[in-house]
Formats: sequence, structure tokens, C-alpha cells
Amino acid sequence: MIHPALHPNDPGDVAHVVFRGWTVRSDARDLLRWIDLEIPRGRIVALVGPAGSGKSVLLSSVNRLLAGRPGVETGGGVFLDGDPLWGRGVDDLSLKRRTGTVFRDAAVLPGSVHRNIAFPLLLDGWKPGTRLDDAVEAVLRSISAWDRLRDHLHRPAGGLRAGMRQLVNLARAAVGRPEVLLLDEPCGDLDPRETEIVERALLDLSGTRTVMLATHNLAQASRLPHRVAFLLDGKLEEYGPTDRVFQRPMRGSTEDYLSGRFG
Amino acid sequence: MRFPARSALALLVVFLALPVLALLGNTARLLFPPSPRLVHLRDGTRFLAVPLPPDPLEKALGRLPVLVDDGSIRVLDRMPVSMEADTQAWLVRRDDGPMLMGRLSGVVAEDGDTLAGEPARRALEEMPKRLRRDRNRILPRSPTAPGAARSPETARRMALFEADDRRVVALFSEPDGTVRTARLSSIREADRAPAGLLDGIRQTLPRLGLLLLEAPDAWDGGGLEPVLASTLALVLLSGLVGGLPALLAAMQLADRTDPGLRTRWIRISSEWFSAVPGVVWGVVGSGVLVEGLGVHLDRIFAPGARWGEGGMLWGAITLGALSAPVTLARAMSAIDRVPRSWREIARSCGATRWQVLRQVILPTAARGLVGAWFSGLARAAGETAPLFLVGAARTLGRSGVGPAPDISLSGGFLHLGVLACDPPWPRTEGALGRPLAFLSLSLLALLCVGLEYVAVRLPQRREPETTR
Repeated sequence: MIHPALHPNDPGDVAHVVFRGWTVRSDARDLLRWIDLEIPRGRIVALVGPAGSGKSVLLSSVNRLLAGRPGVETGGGVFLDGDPLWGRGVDDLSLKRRTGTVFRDAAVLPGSVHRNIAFPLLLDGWKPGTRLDDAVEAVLRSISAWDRLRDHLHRPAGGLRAGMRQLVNLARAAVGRPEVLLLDEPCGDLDPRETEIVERALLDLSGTRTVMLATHNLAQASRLPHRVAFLLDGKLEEYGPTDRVFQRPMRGSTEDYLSGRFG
Repeated sequence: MRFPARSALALLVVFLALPVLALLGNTARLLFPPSPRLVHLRDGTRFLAVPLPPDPLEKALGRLPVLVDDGSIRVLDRMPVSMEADTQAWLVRRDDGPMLMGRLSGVVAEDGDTLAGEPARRALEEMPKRLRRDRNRILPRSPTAPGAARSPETARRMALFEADDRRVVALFSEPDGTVRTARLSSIREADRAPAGLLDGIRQTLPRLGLLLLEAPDAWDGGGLEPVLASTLALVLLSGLVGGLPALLAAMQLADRTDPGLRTRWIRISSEWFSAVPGVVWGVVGSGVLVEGLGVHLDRIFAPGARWGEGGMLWGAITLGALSAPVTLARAMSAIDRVPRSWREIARSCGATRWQVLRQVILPTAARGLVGAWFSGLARAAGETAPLFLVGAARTLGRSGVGPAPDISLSGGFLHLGVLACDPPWPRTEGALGRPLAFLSLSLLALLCVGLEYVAVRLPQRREPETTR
């Protein structure tokens, strides 16, 4: 029998996002070094690690925002449901639409809450109308935010509090029914109460969608996800079920970080 | 040592006061134009004249140039016995004869009606304008050769008009008792010394309107309207050939979330280029466009073409090249002010470059971009030096100051700054209440300040709802 710590995936899990020897280099500096990682479908996976450890780079490898950055070289491969995300001849736009991203700084697009949430659909050529309104309402209900935001739909999104803005961003990321949600410290600027609201919305979304959550908040990392990946200096140090990683880390560096000795 | 900021501030106030003083002084000259004075010479002769500002040589010799009755300049060897302002004297400029100075003794119609006093004054002030407007309606805009190519119908109506109008004549008496007559319809301008500030303003305002806005009168060449129009056209054209491409280039560079090396270099070099003085651009423009391209065009499309002499298109391209870096630099910083996170969000949603530009950048940066375009226009409007080199006309087509320039894309153009530096107007213009150099400089300054004001103010009008 294989020790569960050495076999991170549950037998029923299906790999959804797969990194194979994924290496990212920018200006002769390694941002990510030989990452082998399988993100199971429909699960929440937390990426933890100190600042600069490569969490955000890993996320932007999946939504391909990395491709817009000058001076970036990549090696290895990233696969979304078996489709290569990098390489010659990939269809940038259709791949982007299979992911939804929320960034740390709770920024929203100019315009109303409604426009923010509907933005990906509007890009796809949807016309304003009841169908669009229904889609917005549906996604807000799916994250239990309809009651909070229904009265603000046609007010400027920039006027909301940070927690509400992140809810708007979460709805915007989810409205196009992407397979994967990429969250780059979505609660980094929020207070605990707002964090709780966003976390609950996140739990509502998981199950149907794969979620990759980069976070500094170790309590959040132990609370939410099914799995935790610990990154340090662009290398994957440890990956496994949340309980196991937090209670019996296999690496000294993981233990040091999780117990607050550095980072 | 004391910190010298206070004295620096005082110096700055002096600097700022200089143009204001110049403006006030010239406005006063405009409101109180030198009026005819009754000159007494030692030998007992008395005549009306308008003193002119002496040139340096005349000043050194103690001589006084005056504008006399017939429009010529007479230089008095010695100072006259007395020179009093004659507030009753009129100064009349007309088309069909020399100037007139004298007191108005009456307006006479040929059928015997005679006006005197106040009604005569009013007739003299109002009638000429009305008559000339009628005449311009019959025969609009003077052809270079008057009388040429008139249709029989026009000739008939003109004859009728002339038969009618010959009958109304103003009589002016001079100090020596002679009476001279002037047809009302031939009077271009009739001025009288203003009897105080209010009267000065009342006389000046219509004259200002005539000088600034009126289309050239078929019989006299009018005011600065053609110059103003040509300057505006030149500046706008430069905004089209220079500013617009610069805006498009800024948009082309806008889509990247991270400014790359290329973008940084374009930005830095556009800032360098915007510091290059106008005269350098002028030399380049005259060398490349006029002497190079234009001369070759003439060789290909000869005869009749005249691209090789410089002209409005070359001027506009030179100004456009000179102002494009300014527009580019300001447009790029306007686009930079759109938060990067907005672009990241839009790109993460799968927006194409065009969609990011159209949906996120343009709505926010639009005011800044228009402001950038206007700052390019302001730079273009503020440059006069290069225009001397690429075909600015030095004549205005008024009688005595050269032929009318051909204003077209390939032909010459008129520019406020050029004509103020190198004025084609006779020396007497100021004395006759037509300070055209001052007016054109004021207009040019006003144009630049206005454009710069729009350029600075427009982007500030409304902040985006949130910068986060």
C-alpha cells in the first residue's frame, strides 16, 4: 500500500489542470522551475508560499496573461483538460475564456456593477437585454450575493466597499462559466468579515469548477481547500491534501513556513 | 545668505507684468488712436496732420514725421509752434481719392436735401457701411482686375447703384477754408478723435469687428479675417497630418499590460523630439519637403504646378512633424493614467486588443487623448519660425502692399505670426487706428493660450469614479 502522503490524489480525482516540467524565466531569472502539478477537477487548491515564490506566475500561466509580458521565456507545458495552453498555434482567446480570474487589489472596471459582471459576456457579443440580466442574476445567486448586490446593480462598481468589489469580481470571473477559477489572493485587502463572505461565495462555486487560490493567509489555506501546494523560490516544495500538509509536512521548509518561522 | 526665493518671486511678477503692460498700452492706443491735430508752423501755415512715431534716425535729428491730408508722410524739420488736438476733425480714408482730414460741414444729397450737425455725423458714420454692403452684394469679392468679366446684368445693376449713390456727398472743410467732397459710398473708414473713454470704446468696437472678423471688402482688402482663417486652417491641418497619427500610434502602444522596451524608447525619444526647436524643423521641412519633394513634384507634373515654392501643405506637414512628439508623449501619459489593473481584468476576460482599447482604455482616456491632441495644436500654433522657411506669404493683397497671395494647399498661406514679424502694412497703420501687428500678435497669443487651456483643462474635468 502506498502511503497517502506520497500519493496526493484521491483515487476518484481526475486531473484538470496539469503542469509538466513547467519553467518560466524572465530576464535570465527563474520565476518557476520545473513545476509538476496536477490540479483535480472540481476541487479547491491553495497555492501558498512567501511573496515572490511564484504563486501569481503559476496562475498567469493558466490564464495566459504571462504571454503579454515582455522578456518571458517558458519551457515545459501546461494542459487544461488535456489541451496545451502554451506552444505554437494555441488559440489565445478561446483558452482565456475557459478561465476566470480575480486579482488581489479589488479593482473593478469603470462603470456599473452590472457592466462589470456582464463584461465577459458583452465581449462575446451579447446584447443588453433580459437574457443578459438573467445571466447576471444567476451568477450572483450562485455565489449567494444577489441579495447584497441587487440594489447596487446600476450604480458605479467603484463606489462599493472592497469586499463587495471582490464579490463583483468573483461574479465577473464566473459569469462566463469557465472551467477554472484563478484567484490571486482575493481576500488580501479584505477584513475578516468581508473575507468570510467571499470565502462562502467561493465554496458555493467549487464543486462545479476547479479553483486555484493563491493566498498568504494560512488560516484561509487550512480552512477552504482540498489540497495545498507550497511554493518556495519558484519550486514546488510540497503538494498534498490540506490536513496532511498542515499536520505532517514532509519537508522542513514547509513546516517552517506553515508554523510561521519565516515568510 | 538669505534664501533668494522672495526676490525670484518679484522677478517672476515683473516677467508676467511685461506682456500685460504691453497689452494695456496697445489697447489704450487702440481706444485713443492718434487723431488729426491742428499744426501751426513757424511760417504761419496751418494744416491738419497726424503725428507718427519717429524712426531712430528721425529721432536723432529731432525731426517729426506727420501724416498729412493727402495720405503722404511729411517730415517736419523743426518742431511746430503748436500742435493741438482738433476733436472736431475727421480722418477719412476712401477708395477713389487720397485721404481727407477736416471738419464735417454737412452731408448733401444731390436733390438738395442737406444734413448738418448731429444728423450729418450719424449719416457719415452709418451710411458708408450700408452702401458698401449693398455694393458688395451686387459685385462680391473683388477680382484682381476690377471691371473684368462682369456679366451684363451685374453691369446694369452696378450702373444703377452708382447713379443712385453718386448723389450723396459729405463735405469737409479744412483749416485754410477749402471744402472737399467725398462720396459716402467710397468712404472706407471715417474716424474722429474720441471724446473720452466711452466714446473711444464706442468707436473702437465696430472697428475691431471690422479688422478681425469681416471678410475682405471687395474694395479695400478688409481686416485680418483671411489671416486668421488661414492660420486656423494651417493649425488644424497640422493636427490632421501630425496629431492624428500620433494619437493612433499611442493607442497602438497602449494594449500592453507591461510597457516593453520598445514602448519606453518611443516614449523617451518623443520627449526628446518635442524639445527640438521649431526653426530646426523649419530647415528640415524646407530641405526635404520644399526643395526635395516639391521640386521633384514640379518636375513631374509641370507645368503649372508650384509645389516647389513652399505652401500650406508643406507648412502643415512641418508643423505636424513638430507637434506629433508632443501629442504622442501626452497621449501616452494619458493612457498610462488608465489603471493597469483594469487592463489586466479585461485581458483575463479574454478581451482582444481592440476590445481592451475600445471598452476600457478609450472611455477613460478619451479626454486625455483629446487634450493631447490640443496640446499638439497649441505647440503647432505657437511656432512661427519654421513657417518663414516653408512658404508663408509676406503680402496681404491690399493695395500697395503686394499682390494677393494664392491661398491653396499647394499655394502660400497667411500666418498671424509671420505677418506680425514681417509686416506688409504701411507705417501709417497704427496712426490710422489699425494696429494690425498688435492685433495679429494678440490673436496668435490668444489662440495658443486657448488651445493650451483646453489641452490642460480637458483631462482634468472628470476623474474616473475610482482609481482602484
